Amino acid sequence: MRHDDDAGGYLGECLASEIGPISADITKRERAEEEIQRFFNLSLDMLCVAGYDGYFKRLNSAWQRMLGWTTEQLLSKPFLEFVHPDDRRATLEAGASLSKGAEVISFLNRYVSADGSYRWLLWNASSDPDRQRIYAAARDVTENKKSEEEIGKLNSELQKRVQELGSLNQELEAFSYSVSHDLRAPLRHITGFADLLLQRNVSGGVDEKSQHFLGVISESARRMGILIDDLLAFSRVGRVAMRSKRVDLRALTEEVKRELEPETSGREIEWRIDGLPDVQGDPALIRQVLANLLSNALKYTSARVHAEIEVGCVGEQSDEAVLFVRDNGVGFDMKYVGRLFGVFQRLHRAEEFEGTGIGLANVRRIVDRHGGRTWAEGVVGRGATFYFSLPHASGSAA
Amino acid sequence: MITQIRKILLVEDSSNDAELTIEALSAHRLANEILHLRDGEEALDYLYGRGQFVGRPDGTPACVLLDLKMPKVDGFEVLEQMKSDPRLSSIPVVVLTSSREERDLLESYKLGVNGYVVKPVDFDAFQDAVHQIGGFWAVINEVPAGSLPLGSE
Repeated sequence: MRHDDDAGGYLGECLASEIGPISADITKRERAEEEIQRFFNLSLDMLCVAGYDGYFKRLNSAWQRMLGWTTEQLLSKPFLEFVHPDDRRATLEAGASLSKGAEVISFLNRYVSADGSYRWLLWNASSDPDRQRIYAAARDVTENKKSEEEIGKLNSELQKRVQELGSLNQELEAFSYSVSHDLRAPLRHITGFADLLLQRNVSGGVDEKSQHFLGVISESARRMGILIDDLLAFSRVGRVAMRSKRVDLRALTEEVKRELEPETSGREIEWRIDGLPDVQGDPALIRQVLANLLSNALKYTSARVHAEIEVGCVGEQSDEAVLFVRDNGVGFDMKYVGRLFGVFQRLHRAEEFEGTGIGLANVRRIVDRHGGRTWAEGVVGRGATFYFSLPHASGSAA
Repeated sequence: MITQIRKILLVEDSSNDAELTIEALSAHRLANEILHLRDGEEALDYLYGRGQFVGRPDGTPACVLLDLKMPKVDGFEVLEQMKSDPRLSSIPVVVLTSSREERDLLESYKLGVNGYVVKPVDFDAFQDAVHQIGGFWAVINEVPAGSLPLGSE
């Protein structure tokens, strides 16, 4: 067939030149018409010609493929009847502006398909007012539309989550604020009045047992006060904005050590602070890490005649420095190592060593926020080593 | 002119806290009389000589010990009014609060507070803090002579 067609085309042209200009024009037009018809039906998009009377006049085969209606069905009713009721008004308006000679670009509406579902169509159209015809091409964009809706849904979901998180954070803030204010007051009253009572009774001669009871009351309240302060500090570590600057770890360690000196009077302690690099981070938070680890080391070596505490750097990898605090104190059983850094986790009874069980949780939280890691090694009766990593100092001192 | 020993104004809604503060101050035998007011509204009424304090004797307090969290008018409002009124702004105000929150501290200083003390839980420390506050602001510190209340004719 194709061969014949080609031959016909050539022959047609030859004949046209023989017969004369008029029939040649007709043959040329027929051939152009035929070519257009071919493209018309090859198009992946739906192409149509519609009249100002509201009926389709001509449709390509894509219509049947896309919507499932036969061409006859589509031609038999005004096209508006195939349009989703909610989109009819907009479609009419688009038709009105077309009839005034305007072009319509990227107009969207829904067409019903033979199975009853609606397809989203994207239209480009122009019109010929003289012949009262509309020429239009439509593309099925239902899938794009679906993905768009999906993205929109995910986006609004995300926004909702962000809002929820924001308000949760606010609640947390309000909670810790009220803890800070209200929980401490009754404690102060317990200690205050117990102490006042103790003072009065001492002068009035009260028995030893009552003094002991009053002592326990105010001591317990005092410890709860410390616990509340530690918890608040812990929750604050997670909330405060972090600064990032170059931190001289050696100087900071010496400083923290000096601050702890009142606790070490009368003790024989051998400090080895060596090879500490500069790191990048929040100086106030890193100070808390060191203060926690050094005071732990002091606490758990308190029974040693000769305590050894070493602060150093295991090695510097490309992006972080691994640091450690080692002591020769009571150590711990490695089977509890997983609990060491949890909030309120304690491996020793309160009578043995004072503490709230928040110190190491704080250490981990701060190091986490710096993108570092924390871990520990210990042997019961031999000592413990606490490791933490911090990012290298970058650039010049801030 | 006779030098009078000025009052210490204690603005505190918790009667327990007030009692402890008064105990702590009196344990150190400060000569100043301590006047306990239970909220910000009472404090402002006293300072301006209005409400239940109409016709009170003239004179401004040596200092005001101010709690922050109080019903009706809170400590911040009292502080703001005092520091923005030239007739009251020279009276030293020390915030005495449970709050260790940074924003309370910053807000108080922004409003012109003279001191900010977090009430310690430990009673010895509390006693010590109150004693030092009283000793400095009520005894050592000098303020211009005042002739408030303003409202009393």
